[in-house]
Amino acid sequence: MRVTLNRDAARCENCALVVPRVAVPGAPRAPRPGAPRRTPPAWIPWLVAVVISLLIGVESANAQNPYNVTVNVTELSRIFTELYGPEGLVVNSQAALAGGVSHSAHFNSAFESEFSQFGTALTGQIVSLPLPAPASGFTYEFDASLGVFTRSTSTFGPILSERAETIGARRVSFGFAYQRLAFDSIEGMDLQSIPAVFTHDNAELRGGREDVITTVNSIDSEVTRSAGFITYGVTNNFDVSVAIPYIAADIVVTSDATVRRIGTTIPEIHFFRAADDGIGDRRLFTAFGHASGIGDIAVRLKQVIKKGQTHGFALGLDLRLPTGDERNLLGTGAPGVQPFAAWSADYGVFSPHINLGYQWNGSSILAGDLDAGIAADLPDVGAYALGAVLAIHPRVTVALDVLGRYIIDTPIVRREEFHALDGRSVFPNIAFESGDINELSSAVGLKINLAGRLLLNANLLVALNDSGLRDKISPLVGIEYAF
Amino acid sequence: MIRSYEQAIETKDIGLYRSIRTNLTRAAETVLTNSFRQIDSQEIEIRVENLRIEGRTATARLTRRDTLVISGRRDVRNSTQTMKFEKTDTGWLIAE
Repeated sequence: MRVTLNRDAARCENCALVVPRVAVPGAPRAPRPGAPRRTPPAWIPWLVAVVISLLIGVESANAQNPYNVTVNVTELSRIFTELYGPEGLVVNSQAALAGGVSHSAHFNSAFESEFSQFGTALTGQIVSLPLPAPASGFTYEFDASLGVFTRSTSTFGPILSERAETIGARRVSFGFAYQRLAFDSIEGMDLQSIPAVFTHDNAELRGGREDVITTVNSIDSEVTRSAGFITYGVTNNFDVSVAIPYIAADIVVTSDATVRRIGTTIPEIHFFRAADDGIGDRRLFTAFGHASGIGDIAVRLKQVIKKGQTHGFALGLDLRLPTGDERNLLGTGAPGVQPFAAWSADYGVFSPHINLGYQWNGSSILAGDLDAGIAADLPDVGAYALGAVLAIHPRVTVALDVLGRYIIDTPIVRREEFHALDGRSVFPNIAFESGDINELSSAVGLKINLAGRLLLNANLLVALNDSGLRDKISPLVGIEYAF
Repeated sequence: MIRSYEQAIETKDIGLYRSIRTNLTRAAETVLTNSFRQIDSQEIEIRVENLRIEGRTATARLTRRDTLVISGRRDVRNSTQTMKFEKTDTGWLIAE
């Protein structure tokens, strides 16, 4: 963890506090004794009064500026646990305990301790981004009845799902895809305003321990995935694909904390040191980090089982290798195996398809205890897709899909009300529970045959519901070339 | 007949193809048109492995070597094909 200080810091407390410098306006000076007095014009007192009131307003506003404690985390997975510093959320206190020991009030919340599961959700999203399926539209088959060769399909295939066709024996297809995710919500909650209430250690002892800290938290997380992929047709009916992703992740978490004095009346017991060195009730905590590197490498095997005149059926196996650094949220930290089935049909320019799969995941510290290094099972995922591809031009294919991920037994954050021990005060809060979630998305994309066997892929992945960690719209662009 | 068949495909001549296969359906003609459009060029070497004539019908088993150029890429394919012919008043035509 590296704590950074603002250049404008006027005071540093515990070397972790950043204080905006407060420009205090000077008060009007008293006239020197004996100085000649001039009668000012009548409008001057009014102007002075207005200026003074404005300046007092500015001073007052500046005095309310809270410290901003900023932390640059070196491991993205720890961004929530390091947000409030190594000791967690501790407020200032001038109260002395019996024996003269100074009081150090520590407050706890599920946000700090359990929101690290955000990392599981985030990496789950990264690895769930399907790789563009290799186009089999460049495969030509012999039509024995007419004695000519025709394209095996009229379309270039789906973008984020699979169809049954393979690319053909000894054929090679390689490409590159760039995807960007900027997460907007989790379980329908705006990531810019997640409420969380921190309660005092041993709050059940009542008294001053009834005080709580309420926080409003914003999480800005942007992930880009650049992936190179290659597919080789081992036989006419068996493909092997490998995808190597490069992940770049940036996360900034800001927590705006306010002391709520439920069980105390004296501010000195629980307070945040204010920018003017006074006793305040607010403080900002910011943690940010960046990481980039190789993500989890994926290997896909696909075998055509049945190939009819108009439809086909294939079985496949996706293997995910834990090559990404899970401590920096570049990978899941666990192997994954996903058998899947793909059915597709070809009715001239219209090709529907259905995919079904089930992903078993191994254990990762992201789902366990980061501090203790204890791994726990990542949730398994059922994956499904229903879509169609439409050839609107010999060189242009439109791909439409509804994609689903059914995540089994995963931590789910939900909004709740926190009722303080005084029985009157109520604050918005979050809580965690385990359950299943069904993330539903749609994909709309184009495959454009630019020249020869070169394809340009463009796709938008649009969230259809609020379940899970979601980006409303995730763009993808890519190119692909088939030999 | 088989030489005309070769020529129709190599020169992408739908008219010639239709003249030797008069029962061409609309769907089959679309397949032919698409093939001719998708493939830059095609050279065919056909060898008749077996020919059996029974009255006004005949069956030929062929091996063929197609040299295709698709999107600038040359591709050689070897395949076998069985063709059936029928004799009409104007001569032999491809039946299927």
